[in-house]
Amino acid sequence: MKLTSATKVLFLSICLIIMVTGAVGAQDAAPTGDITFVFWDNTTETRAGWEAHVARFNEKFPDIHVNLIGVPGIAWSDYLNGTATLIAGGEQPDIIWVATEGVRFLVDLGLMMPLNDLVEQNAEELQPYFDDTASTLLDGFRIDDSLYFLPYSWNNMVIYYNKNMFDAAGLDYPAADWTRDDFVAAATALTADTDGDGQNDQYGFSGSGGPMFFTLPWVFANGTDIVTDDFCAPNLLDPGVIDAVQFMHDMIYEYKFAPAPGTLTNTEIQFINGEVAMFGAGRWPTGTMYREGFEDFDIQLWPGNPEQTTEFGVDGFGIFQSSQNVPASWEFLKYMSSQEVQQGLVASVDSGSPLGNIPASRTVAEGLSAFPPANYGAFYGSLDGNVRPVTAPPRFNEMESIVARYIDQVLADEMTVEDAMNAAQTELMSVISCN
Amino acid sequence: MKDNTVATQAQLDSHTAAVPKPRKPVPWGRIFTILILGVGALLMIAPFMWIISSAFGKTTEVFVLPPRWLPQSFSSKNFEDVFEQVPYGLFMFNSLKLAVIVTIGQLITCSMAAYAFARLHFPGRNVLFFLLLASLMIPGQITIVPLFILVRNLGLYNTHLALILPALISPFGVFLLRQYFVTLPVELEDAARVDGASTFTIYWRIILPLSGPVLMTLAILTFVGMWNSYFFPLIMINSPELQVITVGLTLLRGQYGAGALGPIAAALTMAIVPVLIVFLLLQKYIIKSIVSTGLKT
Amino acid sequence: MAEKVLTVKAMKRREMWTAYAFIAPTFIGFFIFIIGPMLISFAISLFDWNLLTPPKYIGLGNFEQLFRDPRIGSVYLTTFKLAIMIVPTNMVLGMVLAVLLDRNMPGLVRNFFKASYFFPFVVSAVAVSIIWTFMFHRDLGPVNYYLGLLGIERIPWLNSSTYSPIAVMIADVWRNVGFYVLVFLGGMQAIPRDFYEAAEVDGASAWRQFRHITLPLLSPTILFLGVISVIGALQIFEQPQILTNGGPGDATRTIVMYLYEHGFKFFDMGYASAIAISLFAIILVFTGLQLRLSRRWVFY
Repeated sequence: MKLTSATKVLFLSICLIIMVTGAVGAQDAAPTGDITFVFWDNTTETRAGWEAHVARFNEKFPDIHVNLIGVPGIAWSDYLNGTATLIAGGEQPDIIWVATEGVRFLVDLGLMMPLNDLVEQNAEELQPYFDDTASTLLDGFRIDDSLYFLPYSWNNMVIYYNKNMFDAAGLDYPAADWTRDDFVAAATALTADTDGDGQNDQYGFSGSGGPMFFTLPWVFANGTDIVTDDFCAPNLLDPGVIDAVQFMHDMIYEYKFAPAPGTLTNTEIQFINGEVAMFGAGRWPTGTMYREGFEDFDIQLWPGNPEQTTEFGVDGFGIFQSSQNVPASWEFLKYMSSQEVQQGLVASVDSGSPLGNIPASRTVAEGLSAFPPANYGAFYGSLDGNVRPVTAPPRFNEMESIVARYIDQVLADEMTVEDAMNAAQTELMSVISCN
Repeated sequence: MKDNTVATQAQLDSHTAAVPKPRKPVPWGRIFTILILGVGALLMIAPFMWIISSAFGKTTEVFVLPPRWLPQSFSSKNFEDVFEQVPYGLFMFNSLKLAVIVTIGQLITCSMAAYAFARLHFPGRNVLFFLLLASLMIPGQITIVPLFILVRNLGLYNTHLALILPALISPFGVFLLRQYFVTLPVELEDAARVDGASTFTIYWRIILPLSGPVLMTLAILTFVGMWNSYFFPLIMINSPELQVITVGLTLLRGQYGAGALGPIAAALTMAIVPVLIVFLLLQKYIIKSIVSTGLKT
Repeated sequence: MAEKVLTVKAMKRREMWTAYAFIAPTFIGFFIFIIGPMLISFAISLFDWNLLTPPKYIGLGNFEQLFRDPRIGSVYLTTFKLAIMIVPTNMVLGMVLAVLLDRNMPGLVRNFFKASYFFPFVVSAVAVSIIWTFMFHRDLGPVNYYLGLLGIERIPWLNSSTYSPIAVMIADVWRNVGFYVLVFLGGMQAIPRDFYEAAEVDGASAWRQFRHITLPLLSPTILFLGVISVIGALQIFEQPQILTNGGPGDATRTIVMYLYEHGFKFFDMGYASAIAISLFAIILVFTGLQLRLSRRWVFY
């Protein structure tokens, strides 16, 4: 059979049209099927919050069935352990909610899917999201130019201070650009032995040691980090690190304005009771303050030494490389990162959202103004100054455990800072390396 | 010691009862004994009193000094906070349900095996018994991953069966019961056998009724152990509606353990008080049974 | 009767099958849920496995690491130290309290004491540990408050390599001693009264009676409690985990905590399995020794 060129063109055109419309049609058809979402579940509120989100997601995508798996735990590391056990047991989740601490671990094992292609395909739709999310938060989820997670919420470390106690001591509230010396002066003035038994029962500051997140602000304020920037070697012998750990020790034993750390603390309640004037935390204690009806407090950025640097950690959603249903997972991921969902973070204490974290969206974060602290701007606003993400190499859990074990000995006054950091440095060598 | 075991219960009772003695001037020794034991008992009870009275106080009053050993006020706020944060009532129900099922199951499986090891002759008896004993030395934590994989392959992940099935048997229980069974007199069994009773009838009609105290001991230990279990539920269960009380307790400690302690005190109280009530109701039997375990070992 | 017709051999066979039926439920569960997983654990100890990616066979590499690990020695030492603190304290205190409770006193008072001492045992170890974390709080806990009234400075119970092991021991003994008391009490009450009466006629002192009658006749009970408490103490986990989290340093880190850390925190299942096997071997040796030595001092 001989075809004229016209027929050829016609034929080709028809083929093309069929292909294109077919493809377009495939793209338009809403994704369907089952997907499994793993999240950190520590309270009824948490689960109810996620269930509500899924219900609203299903209004738009009724044919996607989201299977929720909540993994309990006290810290991110417990949650990560639980998730790993799940996967080892044969569960194949599609989407995971994870924080900075676990990002490199998962990506290094090749478990996570780079989202670059998906993001590009939806560039227009996602533009508002990227415009509204601080680039610093996104940077934490970008490894070698690949974006693995979309930020959902985050926390920084700020100083909470009890205004009544500052007033009673006749002190000015901390200024935005205060330094470690200002901090020491205030904390010393706020420490007292109220019942006269020779031992302090009112402390200027409480809470250091333990999890990495509580140790690093002092290190960052000295302009350094506990590992090198490329995560290839430990950096504990850096004078800045040694000075920071020495300071944590001195707060307890030299200046005596901080209590020795313990496994179970009541810091937030002591703060409300006027037994602790300042403590360091992210946004999470605001829930307790709200429930107890305590409003006479505010927050300030971490004191510099002398330059200020704020520590932060961010969490978000990613898709597993092994996912069998990427289209549906991607739809869910986009929905979970939306402003609509993040809105639930703002009014956590009323409507039941996960952790009372700071929303990743700058617009949504403005809503924090509805609740104390008055200086809520120090939460999102800190991203405009010097910030550094919590140090999280692939073997974060091991690093945290080693560093905490030695710092605890320093804070128990049983090891000198030099000895402790030397020993920790040696032990970390095999954990932090690029070979 | 084997010879006097039959008389034990009667003996125990007769010598527990205070025997009137001729009047002595002042029983200093006795007063001193009771005083020491009294101080000890106070040390055992006081921490519970403190936690319970803290639970009923305000959240901001959990840690007031001097410590309050009796409730000063009755506020239910801490309890409300607990229920707001976790489905604690469900946790308690789940713990109770699991403990009861597993206790009954272990009583059956252990007593049957123990009877076989105590009385019946069969090839491999010693080897199998030694195997059971040796397994007591395996740290439970290490089999968790293989067990987890197994449970998943059986389709039991996130079901109560995942916690029940592995707990239905107990090498320790077999050991405990066997040690008791071998001390029981054989005569009754021989007589029954002559009358044509089957082995099962002997086990069911003679051995079990004679073993009330040791079965009670095993029941208590199993119940306490199951009520206590933490590691397993933490890993095998992920739905809150199936979770148990111990995991709930640790979850309440909150992120970085910096949460308010009032709700934790309330949750502890709710974990303790039901046990306390059951214990007070049954304490006579519970204590007798544990004491009688001492008689037989 | 049917039995009489059966030959001895047939009877034996019948007894055998009955016995197998009786032990079947236990052994089916035993092989599926204990032996099977244990063998798999042995297998895992030959691999490098992080749970998430396929395991790599490394032969005895994990066991070699066991001998090179600078921490494992000190962790085992801590474990033994805690066991040496906990087991004898429970045994001696349990026995002393049992002797006191065995003395003449009104029945109601005796029952009250028995109930108070035993009650903490039925409360979960997790709950007990959390209670003691409260009690031992350096600044706000009742323990330091009352010591303070005696003029003693606040003790860092949970944050000192001197005091933390003591705190763990106190929490453990507080919960478990009641069990020992009751079991010892039972053992003592099984001793025929005539022995004591005879000794009294001979003019033996209370101590001599204890030393020469109570103690020897109690030896099987002591052995039983000794074996189960050593096994329990070497596997102690919840109390230090909740009270001190193993610290400061490794001052209260037990071998099971160490194993848990490697397996479930560092995702090194192979090494965790190797640690478990080493613990298994050690417990086996201890129990064997106890049973062997017991021939010298236990009177059946």
